[in-house]
Amino acid sequence: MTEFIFGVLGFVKVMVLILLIIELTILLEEFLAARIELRRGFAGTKTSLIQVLARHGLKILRTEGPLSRQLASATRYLVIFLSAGLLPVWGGKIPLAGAHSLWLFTALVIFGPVFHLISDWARHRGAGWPLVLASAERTVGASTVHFILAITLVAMTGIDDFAGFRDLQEAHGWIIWRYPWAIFILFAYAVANLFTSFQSIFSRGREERAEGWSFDDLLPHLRRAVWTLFVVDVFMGGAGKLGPLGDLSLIVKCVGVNVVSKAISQLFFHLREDQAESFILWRLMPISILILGLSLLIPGGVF
Amino acid sequence: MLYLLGYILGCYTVVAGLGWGLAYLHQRSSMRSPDLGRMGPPQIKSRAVISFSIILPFAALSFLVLTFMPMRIAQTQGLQGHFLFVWTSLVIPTVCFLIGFYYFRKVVKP
Repeated sequence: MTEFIFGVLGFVKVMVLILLIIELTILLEEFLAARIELRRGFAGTKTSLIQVLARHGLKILRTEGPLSRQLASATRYLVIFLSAGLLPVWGGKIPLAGAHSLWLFTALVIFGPVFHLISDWARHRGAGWPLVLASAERTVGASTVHFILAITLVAMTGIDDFAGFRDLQEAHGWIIWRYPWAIFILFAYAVANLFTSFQSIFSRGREERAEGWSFDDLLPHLRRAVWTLFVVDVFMGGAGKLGPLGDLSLIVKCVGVNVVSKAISQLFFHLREDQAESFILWRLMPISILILGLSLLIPGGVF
Repeated sequence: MLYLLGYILGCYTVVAGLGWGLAYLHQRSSMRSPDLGRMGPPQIKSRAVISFSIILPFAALSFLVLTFMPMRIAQTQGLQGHFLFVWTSLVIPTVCFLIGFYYFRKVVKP
């Protein structure tokens, strides 16, 4: 029974961390966007962090749908939270530690949106919301890159579980400093993350949402937060061994990566859907294979 | 096992419970949206892009898995003069994959 309660507590810890990352990211992004618009001279109202927070609270209160819809949402959330549970969270502890967790994580984040589409398609008898279709399409489209990046990461470090990445970084510092090739992998993961979670450089069509507000509206943000946590845990040292300061640094790093990547992409790029797919499939994939070959032929860390 | 069960049931209870509770509150509040007869989702007419997108990642994965182990020992084999090994295990699969890749690109790309 104690194990069961620890399991529930493990989930609550992961959920709190992910929700904190999402809320702080959106809060900061919306606040900065409103300020930038005002500074540029566009019409707008002066906003504060409290006002943005209150608006989010009101949005959550507009949740609709029967219990069956909430249970379906919970199943989608479960896939995402299972993948988040494989990563080091508070204090570098892993709620769902296991061997080969990198592969398990990759499989969960790739097949989650696909199962969502299949279940939606079966439930609506051949019909589906464009948001769900686009989400699955983007994830499957980027899965080649994800597979290659995961293999490159394993070939480079010789590790395929998150406990190993955490221990390696505690002993030798961040992976991006130890393995210079990893900077490309970090960049590629950031682009794939932006692509699969409908963010910034890749434009998003309208009329993609299902009827009414539900927790499903938060799914792209959840996926984005889990990918960011992955990037920070694997490449940027995660929480480290600093106790509460480490936890704080983990949140700051995740929010920083989210906000900075979105700001940079919005300032410098804007790609249409077809251009984005083309970039991911025809540019990023061959480069990833090249980096994989180089990592295998020139192995070993710097320090 | 009990730990995992707790994790899964915790997720269901928190997410579904919270969602249902908020929806129940919303339904009984003055904030609720008018019932205008919601439309269902549109029919999915084409699955071609999904099919192609599924084929490509698995083709890439099989190529990488097939060449992964030879790549690990290619350096040593090359230094020992086994160039035939490097040629047959790395170069030929890579050329085949790239031919397929660029043909696929030509067919699919608008």
